[in-house]
Amino acid sequence: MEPFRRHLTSEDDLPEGIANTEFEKHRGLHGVEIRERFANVFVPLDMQTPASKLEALRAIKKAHISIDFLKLAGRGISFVCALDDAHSIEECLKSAGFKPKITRDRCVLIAYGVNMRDQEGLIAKIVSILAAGTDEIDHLGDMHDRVLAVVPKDQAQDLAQTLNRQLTEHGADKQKEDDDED
Amino acid sequence: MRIKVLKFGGTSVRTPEARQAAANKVVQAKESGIDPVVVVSAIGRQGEPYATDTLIKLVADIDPAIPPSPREIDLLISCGEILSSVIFAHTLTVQGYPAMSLRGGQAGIRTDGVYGNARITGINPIGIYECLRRGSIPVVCGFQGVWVQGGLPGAELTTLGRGGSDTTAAALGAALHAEGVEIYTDVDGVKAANPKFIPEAETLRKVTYDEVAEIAHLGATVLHPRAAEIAMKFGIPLSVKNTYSDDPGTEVVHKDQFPGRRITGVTHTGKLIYARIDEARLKEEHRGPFLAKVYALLAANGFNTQMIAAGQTDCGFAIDRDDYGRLLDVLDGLVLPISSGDLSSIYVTVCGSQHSQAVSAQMDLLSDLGEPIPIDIDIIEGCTMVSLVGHDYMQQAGVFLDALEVLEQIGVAAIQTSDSDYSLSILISEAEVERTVRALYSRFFAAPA
Repeated sequence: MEPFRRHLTSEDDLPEGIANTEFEKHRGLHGVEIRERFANVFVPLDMQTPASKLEALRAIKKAHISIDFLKLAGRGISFVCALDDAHSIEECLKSAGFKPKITRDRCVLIAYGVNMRDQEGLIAKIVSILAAGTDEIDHLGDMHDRVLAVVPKDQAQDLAQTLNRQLTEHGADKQKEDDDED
Repeated sequence: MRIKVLKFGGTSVRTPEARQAAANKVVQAKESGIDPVVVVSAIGRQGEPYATDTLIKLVADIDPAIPPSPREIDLLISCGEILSSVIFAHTLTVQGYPAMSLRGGQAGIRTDGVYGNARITGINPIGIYECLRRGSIPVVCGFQGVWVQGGLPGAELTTLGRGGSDTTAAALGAALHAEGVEIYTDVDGVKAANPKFIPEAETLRKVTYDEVAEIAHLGATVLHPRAAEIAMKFGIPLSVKNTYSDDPGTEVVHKDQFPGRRITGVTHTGKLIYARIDEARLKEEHRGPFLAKVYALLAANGFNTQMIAAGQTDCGFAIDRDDYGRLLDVLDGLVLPISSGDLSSIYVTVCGSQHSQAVSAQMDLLSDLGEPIPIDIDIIEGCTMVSLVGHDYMQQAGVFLDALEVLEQIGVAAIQTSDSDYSLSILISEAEVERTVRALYSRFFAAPA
């Protein structure tokens, strides 16, 4: 059998740009985004009565308002809505007999990374960094390529910078440059 | 040169009949003027002679107390794909279609040096072109590459981790500027729900890269998110098809080519446990530092946390049930001294309703320093997660309510919920998974509002 010769096929025959193509993104995060103008809503409920949480959600649906990050806590439910909907949510819940607590000026911080769940400990690391930076993480969620956290608007920028510095390749390189300069 | 990458999973190469069906697909492509490049997984599924877990057992059983190194494991389990590629190449050759098996390194796949979960850093497909120039069909071992900076002559063999063969196929498709990548399996394409629970589950004819990645992330095993990510990045047409039929399968496309549908699928995943941390005894100033320390420990120990809640009155997370023992090792009786300003406290975490020996011992030892504060971590066993995946519909008013009402109607308790831009997940008892999936499918597919 004819042996393979290393350069039998000319490099010129290869499609352009193969040699230095990054097929997969690096580990860790590759970006952090901040989405603004959200509010966090906590509705105290007797959670032993499942109907009560449905009643609260029915009141919101009736007002045609979309919510995100619904969480079932021991003493009620909480969720996030657009800041512009906060007043309507408050009104419709109060009309239905609930006493919502609304915190305005919330942001959704989104940390992007490919296939996050297969990167052992990455999601926990993100939560750890966020919790170290603020006492007020209202909510967390995850997708195949991102972790979403609801945090106070005035802390979002600092948290994003910390995540960038500690978990993105660019941030790690920058940190190393700074350390080298020191 | 018109190249197409055809990837066959374990079930498509496990028996001579299956390999013949797979070979027919390759021959069909060849006869239509395409140059097929084949990627194969290891033969068979869990427990079968050449399956990955069977190979690992060969060394793990030597001394269960001393686990083999990841390097040795990678070298061993890569044999599964090597066997498969040689057998498949010969299956084609004897039918008059000369084929040549190639290891990942010979196909030019370069990776970083993370054994067991390597990432592709580059591809030089000269070997594949050379194979094609000779008139042979390349049959590439999926799931593997080489780390050329490893030090030893010939480079270090690495494996790509879960879904590695899909990733191989997508990356080769990109490197070869292929017309398309076809992922062959034993079902007609991406299903709207697990056909084991819902035999009549619809086959989705088109899905977006994001949808298919999210479906895979939340339990479906049709295509790995890494493969979808690469195909999306390089604009490679991707499809999921059945080895045993001529069904057109599922086409994976960009969102601008397909606006999506109301709900893409109902998925379920995982044997999980849910750990709920009761924050009632935690001083407010200590909440952040406490959670930071707990999650830092989870991260350092490599736990893959899901369904994370960090609300006003309690927080929690789900992990794989297989990690329960490790979780107890890390969290039960964990002593966390926390200072914030003038306020200092010593917390001890208590997993479950009974104090373990570890907890009692820690409490005794710490009593001289003051009263340690126990933080209860309630462990809910036997959980699983069911999810609705979709595009814009998830943003519509009332989706949560609709899903929770379905559960209430069938008497299933929602332990926790979680959502993202494309999905809504509910943690339930594993015993209820089949009827919950059926009920959600029925509500959101069969009789959409």
